Amino acid sequence: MNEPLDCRAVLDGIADAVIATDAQARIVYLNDAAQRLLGWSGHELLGAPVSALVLPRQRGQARAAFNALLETGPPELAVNLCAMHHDGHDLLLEVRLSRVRAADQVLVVGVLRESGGALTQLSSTRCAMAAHAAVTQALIEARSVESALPDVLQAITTTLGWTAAVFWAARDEDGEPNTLEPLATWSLPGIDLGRWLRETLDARPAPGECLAGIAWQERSLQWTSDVTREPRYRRASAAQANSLRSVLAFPVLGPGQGVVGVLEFLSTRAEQPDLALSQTMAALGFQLAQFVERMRHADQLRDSQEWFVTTLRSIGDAVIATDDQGQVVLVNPVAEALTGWTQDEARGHHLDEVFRIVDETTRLPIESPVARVLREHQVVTLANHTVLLARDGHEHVIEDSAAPILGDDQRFRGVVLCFRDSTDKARIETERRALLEREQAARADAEQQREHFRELLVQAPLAISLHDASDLRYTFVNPRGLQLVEGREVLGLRPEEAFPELPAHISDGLRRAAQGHTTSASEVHMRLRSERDGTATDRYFDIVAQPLRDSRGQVESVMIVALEVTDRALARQRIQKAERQARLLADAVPVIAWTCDADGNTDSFNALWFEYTDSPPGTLEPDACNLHVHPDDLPSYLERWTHALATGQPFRHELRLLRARDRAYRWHLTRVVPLHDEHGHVSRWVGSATDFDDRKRAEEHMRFLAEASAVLGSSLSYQDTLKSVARLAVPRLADWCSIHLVGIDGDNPGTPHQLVVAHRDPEKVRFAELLDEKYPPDPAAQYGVPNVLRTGKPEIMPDIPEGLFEATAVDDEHLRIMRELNIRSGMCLPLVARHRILGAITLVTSESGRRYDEADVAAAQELAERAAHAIDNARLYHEANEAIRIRDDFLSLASHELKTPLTPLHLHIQALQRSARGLGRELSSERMSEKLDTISRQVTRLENLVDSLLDISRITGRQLHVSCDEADLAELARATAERLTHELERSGSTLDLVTPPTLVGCWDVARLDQILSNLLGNAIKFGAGRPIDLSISRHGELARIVVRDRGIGIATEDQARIFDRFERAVSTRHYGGLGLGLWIVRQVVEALDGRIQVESELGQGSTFTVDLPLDARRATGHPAASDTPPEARS
Amino acid sequence: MSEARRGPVLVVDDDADVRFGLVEILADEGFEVASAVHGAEALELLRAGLQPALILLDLRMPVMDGEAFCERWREDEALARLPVVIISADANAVERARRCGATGILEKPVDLDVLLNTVEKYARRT
Repeated sequence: MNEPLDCRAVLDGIADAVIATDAQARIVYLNDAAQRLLGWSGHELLGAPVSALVLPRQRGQARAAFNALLETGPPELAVNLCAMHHDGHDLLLEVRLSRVRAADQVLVVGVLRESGGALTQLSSTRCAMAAHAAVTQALIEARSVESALPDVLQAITTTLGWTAAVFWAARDEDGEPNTLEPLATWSLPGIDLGRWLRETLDARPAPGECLAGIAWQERSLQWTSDVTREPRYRRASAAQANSLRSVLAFPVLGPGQGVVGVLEFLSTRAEQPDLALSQTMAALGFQLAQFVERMRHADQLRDSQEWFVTTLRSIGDAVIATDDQGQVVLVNPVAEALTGWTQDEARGHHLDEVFRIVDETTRLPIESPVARVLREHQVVTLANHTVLLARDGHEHVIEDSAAPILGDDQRFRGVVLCFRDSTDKARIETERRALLEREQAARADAEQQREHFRELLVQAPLAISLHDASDLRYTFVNPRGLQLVEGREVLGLRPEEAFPELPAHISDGLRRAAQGHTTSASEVHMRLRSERDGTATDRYFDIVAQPLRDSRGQVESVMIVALEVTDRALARQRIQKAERQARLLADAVPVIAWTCDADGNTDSFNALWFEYTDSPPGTLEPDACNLHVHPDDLPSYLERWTHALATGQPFRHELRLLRARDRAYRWHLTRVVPLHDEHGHVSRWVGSATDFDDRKRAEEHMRFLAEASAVLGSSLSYQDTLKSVARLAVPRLADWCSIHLVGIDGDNPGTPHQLVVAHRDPEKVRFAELLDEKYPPDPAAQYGVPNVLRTGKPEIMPDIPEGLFEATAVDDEHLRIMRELNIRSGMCLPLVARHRILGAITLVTSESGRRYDEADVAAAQELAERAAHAIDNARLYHEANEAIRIRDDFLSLASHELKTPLTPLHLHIQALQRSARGLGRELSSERMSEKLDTISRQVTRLENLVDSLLDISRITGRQLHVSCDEADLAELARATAERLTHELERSGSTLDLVTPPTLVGCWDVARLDQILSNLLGNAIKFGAGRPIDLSISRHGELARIVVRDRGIGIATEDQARIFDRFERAVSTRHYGGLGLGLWIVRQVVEALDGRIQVESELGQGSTFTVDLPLDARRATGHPAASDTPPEARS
Repeated sequence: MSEARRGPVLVVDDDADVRFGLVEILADEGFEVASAVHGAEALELLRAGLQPALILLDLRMPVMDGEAFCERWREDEALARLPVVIISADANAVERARRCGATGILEKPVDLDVLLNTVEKYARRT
């Protein structure tokens, strides 16, 4: 099964220690390195305030830095802080703090680095507390001072980081301090202190001697950080031999301020003391002193108990005890009453003074039984009729006896003397009083114990309550508990009554405790309403319910101990929320991510992977790579993986991943990064794949378009460049690419033809060309090239619609072929420039499986646009070139035609000049006249030429003015023929003129003459000397002019263009003239709203037919009409 | 003038005004003159036995233009000895004449003195 993606794996892999806190400075994250550095585990610290890690005296500084960071300060700060290691030693750290805004919260991330070794100041509260705890533990378990001391020394030494320790006991003699005696020593295991230890055990420093002696005398802590420079330290050389450098000695002061002893600690480091350490040591010393004192009392008590046991043997009697010298040490109340001596008065006096006895009858002193016991160390039985002489003069008849006091060692310690008033009344009274005292003592004792227990409950830093075992009613709540319940009255209530919020399982647990089972629950959530201000807050408690039993083992009551852990729980919840957020983030980022084990086996994916590949969430496909990576990209990717696994190096790789949604391979940038364990070995790999297909393809498209543009711009032979572009598009934009062009012929779109079809496989190209020949596109087709050429709108088919082929196939064979092409996706775009459809480009995918999307369409449109402009440019260029060529030809022709009549003009004028000057031959007047005629004719010819040129400029400038006058066309025709007689003669042609007598219309005479002259002139020019016919006739409202020659004729393909400007069917080399004649004729005819057409056959001659309306004014929309004033029309 | 020979000057030009003008002027100056409308007609005259002292040849003519005539002229050893002077209004007349291998070139409109000087080099007056 897929594991949740470990989003923190990377952070955990960082070598620096990293701690993150929330805005409340609670630790929400710490990585492995931080845990190693600080010695604390994650679960110990998560949720804890970060200040717990900082030494108390530095907390202010840390808080200031933290607040500065949270506010508007710089996003980063560096501070040096002293932190506490888990084992108590201090760490001086360089901390780089940075503020991070994550989702809706602010985090502070600290990167910690140890700046040096452990600090010398052992001053932290933490250490002190640890030391206290350890010492307390040692003291609790100890039975005597002697047995406790090694444990105490060990506890202090280890918790405060010392190396060795000595306890010096203070010995008094005659009430005066005398010597210090080494009572116990302890040193770190594995350290042999040898000579120092021997010297220590032999030492007996007096007050003021040695550091310990000085501490004893001065009753203050004494210190040296370097024993070699401390003359007061006697065992310096021995200490130095064991590398012990620092020494600390402080007095252990008893409750009565008497010095119990001195503690001496040594360290191999050069430690420096501070106030906190002094306080800690003083407190520890006090703790120890109390213990010593208690033990001493316990010893005394034990001794007195021995006395007491012996005394009990004669309970109810008066008892006096002496030491082994017969000095009174104890006088019991009965004895006090009988003797009249109080104990205090009697103590130190010899027994004989206190216990004065005489014989009842003789009144003579008799020997005290004590004297015999002292002497004989044996019990002396009661003597009869002895009279005790009390101090106050009373006399009591007594019975007495004495016994020796022997210790455990059978040593004689003293004598106990028992005696009683032999009167019954006195005895009974004495016994009653003794019983009463015992009872009172027992009661006081019990009271004291109860008081201790209550103190414990009251002072415990936990909320504690006691409950009646029968119905769990509150019987006691300690102050901490009262704090917790926030003013609720709970005593006498059952828990459910006091806390309606109490979860059911806790109630059950309490009932089970009442039945004798200890139950516990952690982080119990309760929404508690404060009785004080009514606000409800979410709080969490660790709860233990403990049954308390009476002496018979019956459950008497239940103790509930509750510890509020709200901070911890909330912090944990925040962490969990943050982790959920992180996971959410990992799933939300637009990046596919996965993790692998050290061997590269994938063990988890994020959500995007499953969405992208459409595989069931949580599954791990064993062959995910083969299934989803493009086959062309797989080998190089696996190779990179192999290399990475061998070297432990990260890598990046670009590859295509199959997207399930549209079965499209999309480009991804993958990054695979190793994570290392604490030993530096690769423990895991984290992989990510970013979809940059759009960018990648945009780049490819740009590159492709740039190349295509370069190709298109490389030559003006657009047909060749378009072929190159089509080949360039395969396979980068398509598997198939074809370009169709529309032949441009004036404004009429010609038949489209396929210029090029491109495919990787030349065989397929040939196949496609044959297909195009066999099944040429139907111009009326609703799909494909014809449709696009017709409508000018692109046809985009990301998926080929169902039934498209069936709808477009010509026959079954065609359908079969189209299906075999296996077309996946296609688009057909018009090539449009300056609003003219020049052709279409078709892009189709098949074997690549590629599906066109918007980016592809955009690229294709760009390509189509550039191709269209290239075509347009090339065509414009050719047109412009052609226009220039024609213009140059015309200029050359015009120059030729102007120079030609100038030649005879020039020659004849010069001949006349020569003659006039008397040079050369004299000219006859007839000759001269002929020459002048020729000159005149050349001038006319030049005039005509100039008029033609002017006509051109008028026509092209739309300034051809047509006037309208009554005129007879027949007469005009005859006049023109007459005028051209000379030309006809020289050409050798004859003219057959057929006209009606008159044909009157409303015409521009000059223009009609122009028409007739040009047509007739052409017939003469190209008539090859053969007969020419000119006929004029009327057809309804039209006049018809027909000019026929039998000359060279005009080829069919040239007939359309002979009316164009500067055009002629024959080479300009062979025939004179500007080539403007027919063009001017056509312009004039059209200005007169007429029509001109030609029929001709090469070598057989030409027939030009002109139809003109009889009244040019009836024609509409031509310049003549518009030039005529309205009143002139009717 | 040593090269000047006897024989007519053959004027070949399709433009009647030019042709007649040249013929008339040269005749007036005492030269024997023959004329043809285009290259083909000129060739016919030559093959018919005309022995001109000089051929004045227009370039732009129907049927056979000046260049086509020159090709034949160069190919025919007998004809090639005849001097051919191009007389043309063409803008590129000089270049075209050179390519034709013509003996000389006169650009239209030609100056009468220049024309006579040129003709006198090859033809003797009668």
